[in-house]
Amino acid sequence: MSQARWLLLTSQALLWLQLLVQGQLQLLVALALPGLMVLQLWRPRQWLPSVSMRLITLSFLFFWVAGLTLAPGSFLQGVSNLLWLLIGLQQLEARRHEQHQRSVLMLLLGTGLAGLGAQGLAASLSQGLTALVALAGLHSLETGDQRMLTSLRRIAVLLVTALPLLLASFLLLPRLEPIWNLPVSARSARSGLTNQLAPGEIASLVLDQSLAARVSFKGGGPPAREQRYWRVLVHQRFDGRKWSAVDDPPRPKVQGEFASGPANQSWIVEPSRLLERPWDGRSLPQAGSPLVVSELGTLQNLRFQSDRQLYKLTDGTRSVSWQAEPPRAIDSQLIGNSNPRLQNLGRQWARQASKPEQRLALAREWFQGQDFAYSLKPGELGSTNPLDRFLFETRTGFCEHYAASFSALMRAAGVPSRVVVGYQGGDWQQPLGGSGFLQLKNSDAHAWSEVWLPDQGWIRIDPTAWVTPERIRRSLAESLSKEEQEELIKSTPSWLQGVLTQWDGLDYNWQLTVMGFDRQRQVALLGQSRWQGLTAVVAMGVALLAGLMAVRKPWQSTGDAARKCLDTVLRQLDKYGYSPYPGETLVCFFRRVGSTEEKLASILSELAQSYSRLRFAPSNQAESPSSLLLDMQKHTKHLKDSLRNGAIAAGPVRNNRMI
Amino acid sequence: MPFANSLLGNFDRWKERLQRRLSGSGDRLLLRHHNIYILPTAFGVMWLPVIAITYVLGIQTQSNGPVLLALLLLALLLFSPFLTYRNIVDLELRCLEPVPGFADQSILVPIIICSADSRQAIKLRWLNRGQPLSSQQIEQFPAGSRQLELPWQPPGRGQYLPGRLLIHTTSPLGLFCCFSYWQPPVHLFVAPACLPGPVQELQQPTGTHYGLAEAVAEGSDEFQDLTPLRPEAGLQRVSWKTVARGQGWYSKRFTCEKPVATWLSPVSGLPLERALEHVCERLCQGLAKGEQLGLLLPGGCEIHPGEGELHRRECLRALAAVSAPLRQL
Repeated sequence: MSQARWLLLTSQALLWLQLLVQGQLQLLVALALPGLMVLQLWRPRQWLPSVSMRLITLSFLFFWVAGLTLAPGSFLQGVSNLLWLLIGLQQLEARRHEQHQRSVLMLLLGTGLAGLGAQGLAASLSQGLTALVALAGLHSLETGDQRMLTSLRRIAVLLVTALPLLLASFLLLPRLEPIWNLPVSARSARSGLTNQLAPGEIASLVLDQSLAARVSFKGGGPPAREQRYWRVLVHQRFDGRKWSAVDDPPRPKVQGEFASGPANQSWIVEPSRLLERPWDGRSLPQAGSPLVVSELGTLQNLRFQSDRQLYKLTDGTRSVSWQAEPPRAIDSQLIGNSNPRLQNLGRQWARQASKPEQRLALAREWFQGQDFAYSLKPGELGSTNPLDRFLFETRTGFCEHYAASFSALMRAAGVPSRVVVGYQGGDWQQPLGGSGFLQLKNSDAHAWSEVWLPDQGWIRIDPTAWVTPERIRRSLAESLSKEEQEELIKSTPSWLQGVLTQWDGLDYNWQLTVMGFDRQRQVALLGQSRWQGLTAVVAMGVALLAGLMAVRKPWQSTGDAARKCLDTVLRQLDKYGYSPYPGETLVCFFRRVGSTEEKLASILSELAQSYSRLRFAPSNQAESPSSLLLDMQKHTKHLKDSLRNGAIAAGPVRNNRMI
Repeated sequence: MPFANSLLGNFDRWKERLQRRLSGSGDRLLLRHHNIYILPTAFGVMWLPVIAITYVLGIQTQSNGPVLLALLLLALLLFSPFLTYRNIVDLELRCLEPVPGFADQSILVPIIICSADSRQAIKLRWLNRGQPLSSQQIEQFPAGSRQLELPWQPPGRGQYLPGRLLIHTTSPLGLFCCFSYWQPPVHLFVAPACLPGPVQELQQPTGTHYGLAEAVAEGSDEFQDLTPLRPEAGLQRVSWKTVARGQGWYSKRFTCEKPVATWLSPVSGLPLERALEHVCERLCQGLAKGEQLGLLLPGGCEIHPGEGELHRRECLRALAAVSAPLRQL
């Protein structure tokens, strides 16, 4: 197998590996691609006639369609998988030069499609490596280079040469808005917050230390820790056992909910199955953004985005309208015969206080007066009346227990309430040489309550903070028992934490500055200019020129500088009709020219001596090769100057005619 | 009408100039900017939609990964013509006189390629009809000179100018093709194909200037005579018998049979081409065996008997040129 085929196979393997890690492959494609690669290694073309190839292709296409029908994803995901499958088939079938070239094109297109689903630093590096190897395969194909490393090196040099042009075009070419809207895909999701809350069913909460989101704040650090509530979902439906969101998605409230000022929060959210994005409940998306604020106070994505999403928010300068949205019937709904002790307590507060604020105060007093404990291992509460069992028997739980039971108590007391799920806290990261950002992990997931007070609207109440203020003011670890603290610390080795923090910082800055470079950032960087297109073209031209001049022949190694000098001299003399006779030595030739052109005699003699010494003198001579080479270059320049100044009176000749 | 005539005249001049440029004649070809042409390849054209699709996907999904990839491919596309041009510029080609070939075989045309820099994937191909369509490729070309033997398929017996040679390269990425034309000023002599058959052989051709060839020559096979001994003759050939008889010092003279010089001529009664093929076959076989052969060809062409490679080439050229004027393909 030729080196070009090896390189293309390697590129295909890299593409498959990254797609597998990112979970972008359908089952059939994930299994078929390595099989096709193994077939390529066995060189089946000799025993696989073209009819069999067609049968294989048709079979794969049939199974792809079947797989798509059984487990439908987004249109783009289906098409991408089809292309990745076709890459394998194309490479298996490729025999001629043109077919291999088509394989390279498909590999590059496949790499581009892989970039839609993953934009992290690791994914980008992996995609870059795939493209590099594919291009090296193309280079090897075109030049017949039999050394894999040579092709890789030459393409790497070529890419470095093209880098200024790439940067100029990336920064300066006017960024376009999407031409048409793609449908939202809710299926391309992975782990994250769930859309229901059933605290009684969780015996032990396993903390997921994976990244959930990162946010940086322009012109300062993050808000105080007790103010770091990032809302995502609102649960209104309560069936006595679990809280959940209403079936119909809330109607987004679009009008008047966009900011006009510059953005001061930059969010990068990891893949999630939810359409809702974390936010602080006060800031606003910018006009033209695919995000809108719903009536429930959730930030919703309306347009298809790649899995990892970047968005910017602006601090709101006035009270946001979702807080003033009056409660609906579902916000007071309570199942009649569930959790009777909870309902009795709520009714008791309703009898004791007429105003919602007073009932709220009673609730706070009650929670703080009981011996509640915060634990990630509360044990199961059973399927019947779980909240009664929590409030009056176990009194041990985590945020979900407190938020769920408090909200139910408020409804029983006649105060509309709901449960909000999102993130609380987060760790401030300050990478070396980069701007700091707040990192939210899935272990920062938190649940709290919102109650409706007629004078204030929906306000946030966090009963967990009443019971264990450390959970909110400091960290989760501070609120746990010693055993649980040890387990938490074990799950994040400190030696790795520093490395991961720096990597996260690099990744965050990569995504913010490169992957997040959009039209708005371009305008902020360059300003609004009518001449942007022209500027881009000029800058690209300059970059192209600089690249060409910086590396004259990046894929070649000339090596012999002395020979280049000599060739220059010979070319110059050739212009004046002097060229060596067959068999004439350099010294004889220069002597012959010198005898005719006296002004050049000494220069030519020096040149001949330098060249001869450089080529034939023993290495122990006093003169170093570099000094001889410098001499030669100096004499060459001198000769050119002399010729330009008319050292040969007859002037240059062309085609045996004087000009 | 004068305007039309002037226009036609200008067109003819332009056409002639274009033809002259495209033919690229000269005893050597130095590839410079004025004789190098650049066009995108089919693959280069297919590269554009890939850029467009990747860019649109990136724009549609607001993902900068595909946008960066598309711009990188665009940058490579913009660099490519310059890189390909630099792979071929300043290349010098010279053509040596090729050995005469036969009508049923390819002729190897020796071409010397010189370059001060290393090159990659330089391809050469004859453009005439009937020539192989595939190019001969020099994959790695280090700085210096190198001789390449380029096969040329003759259309039949005769003497030809080989026609236009295409020198091209698509390195490093195959997106653009830089090419140039050259018409090497060498004559290709194509002798008839070798076919066994009757040939007219004359050992003592009539005619005033041929004369009789001597039947014997100096050698070592048979004793012929005695000659007075000269000091440089050595002792091996001393006639010791005459010395013993006191008849003086003599050295023995030996002779061997001189090879018979044969003149080959096409037999009458056969078509000329067929008869020449028989002559060619007889000539090649005979010269390979060391015979002294000459040619008497129609049109008064005579090649005196001789032997050796140079003589063989001369004979083949003569056979190629029988009733066949120089043809330009």
